[in-house]
Amino acid sequence: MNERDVTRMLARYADALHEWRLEDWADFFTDDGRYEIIPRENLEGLADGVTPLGIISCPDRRFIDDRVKAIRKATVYGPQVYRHLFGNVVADELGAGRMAVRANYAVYRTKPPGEAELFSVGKLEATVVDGDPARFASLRFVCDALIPGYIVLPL
Amino acid sequence: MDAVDRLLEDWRPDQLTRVPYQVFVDADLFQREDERIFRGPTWSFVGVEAEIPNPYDFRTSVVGRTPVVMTRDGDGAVHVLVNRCAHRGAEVVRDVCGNAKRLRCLYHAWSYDSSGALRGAPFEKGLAGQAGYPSEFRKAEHGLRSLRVERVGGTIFATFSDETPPLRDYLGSVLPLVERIFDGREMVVLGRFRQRIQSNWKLYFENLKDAYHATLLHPFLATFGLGRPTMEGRIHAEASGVSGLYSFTGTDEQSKHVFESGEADTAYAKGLALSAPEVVVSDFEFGDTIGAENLAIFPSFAISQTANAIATRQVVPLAVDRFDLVWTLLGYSDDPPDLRAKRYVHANLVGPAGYISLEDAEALESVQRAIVEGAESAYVAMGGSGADPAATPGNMISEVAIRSFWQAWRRLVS
Repeated sequence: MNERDVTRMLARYADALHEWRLEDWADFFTDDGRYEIIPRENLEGLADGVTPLGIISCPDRRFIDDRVKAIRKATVYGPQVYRHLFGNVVADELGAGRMAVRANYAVYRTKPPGEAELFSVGKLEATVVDGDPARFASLRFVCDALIPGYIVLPL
Repeated sequence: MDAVDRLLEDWRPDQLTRVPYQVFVDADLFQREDERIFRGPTWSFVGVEAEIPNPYDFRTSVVGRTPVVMTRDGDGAVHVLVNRCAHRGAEVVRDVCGNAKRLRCLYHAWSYDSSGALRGAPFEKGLAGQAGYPSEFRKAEHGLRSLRVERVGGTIFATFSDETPPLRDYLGSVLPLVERIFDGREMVVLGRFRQRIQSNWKLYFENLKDAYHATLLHPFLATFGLGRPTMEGRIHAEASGVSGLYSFTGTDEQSKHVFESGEADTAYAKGLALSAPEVVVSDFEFGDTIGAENLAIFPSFAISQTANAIATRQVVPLAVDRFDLVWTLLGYSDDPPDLRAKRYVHANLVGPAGYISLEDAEALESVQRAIVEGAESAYVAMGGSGADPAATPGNMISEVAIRSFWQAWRRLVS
């Protein structure tokens, strides 16, 4: 696995969310895979012993599957789609078939009839485990700015 | 008589079940609220003591739209100062937070101490005996404006007005509910969530006081047993516009199982079970069975307990159709590790992606889009036509706290 493979994996990840294939999104994670969206300010000036707090924090795959179930059956929201743009993708070998991934991201959100807005911008940090398919052992989005409205679909 | 006066005159004081949509779209009224409400006889939440624990710590905040900075001086006293240089109006503090003995304006380097007193004005005596300030210039007359400050538990409130009643009186019957959470134990900030909502700020205040919507707009609540209409609930509503809503887990057949076994009950939605049910199971850390509580402190603040997620919410009005909502998630510094871990899991229930809060932004923005021209009025009659919660039954199907809120609002803006 190399940087190009990671870039293609990110593209497939974004497609799943763009097409609302949420179960496919969940399958991008290993069983103990962690998913988080953390505002940048929560990583700064932390009090002693405090770990960074996420807007969404899924400590393992069970929480990721529950997020999908909740979106499908237990939340109410308006129609919308995301468009992810990833840039500055860097992947470094960690050994044992794992790679450390860094990238910048921008997500645009469009609500019908056609108004697009910059929904979130920031960076992502991930650990990818090689396999068939490769999966995220962890994926963290660090967002620079506040959330316009609300966030139903994961980044 | 301007349009705002006409609106308030046409809206009869006893007409609590009708809320003219104009109050959510009128820009002149928004200006008036700034003066009469946010700079009037009300208490605005500015932060918690855990945000400025050490001498000379500071953190910026707002009272209504007015930028303020809360500081702790060398003696440990807390001050809330208007963050606007007494000279030419620049923000004195531009960092969100920090620690400094002197707060120095970038524009002409006027500097203030943490109580807001002016300590230095460059070239006060001029340069080589020329120019300088007039002889009657006194630094003591050019400090930062300091607000009245009162605290309950670890919360810090400020007011511009000498007329505002003492904070404890203002909170009234809701005071014990505030002290239930802010009980004097040292608190710690776990993190913040910020969201910008495209609606009038009062629609959010109605929402905070709206017990009726909870299980209808937020299906997750009822689906996974966190809150159900059959649970026993209580509503407090004070004349100051302060209210409290809360419900008791285990007081109905459907939530009894959750309370007694500590396992999530998913009876509402057949075939839908959580893989990680701990997201809805509370530790009941306060010695009672309240699973969800929401205290709305007019005009800018709420405290909520959602299972073991403890949050303050600050409402920051930006324009007639836009406000920011700032969530601060808290714990206690002596939290056992397993309880602290639950606070992080339960934080998934609140905030901009919260299972029982994400819908609020969608609903409020939807209302604002639909009432844009300000004609007609809302119908707010669930649970009666009065504003006294003592007259409502012991469940949460009621809009009484909303009616009480409008009474307080009208008293101030009229």
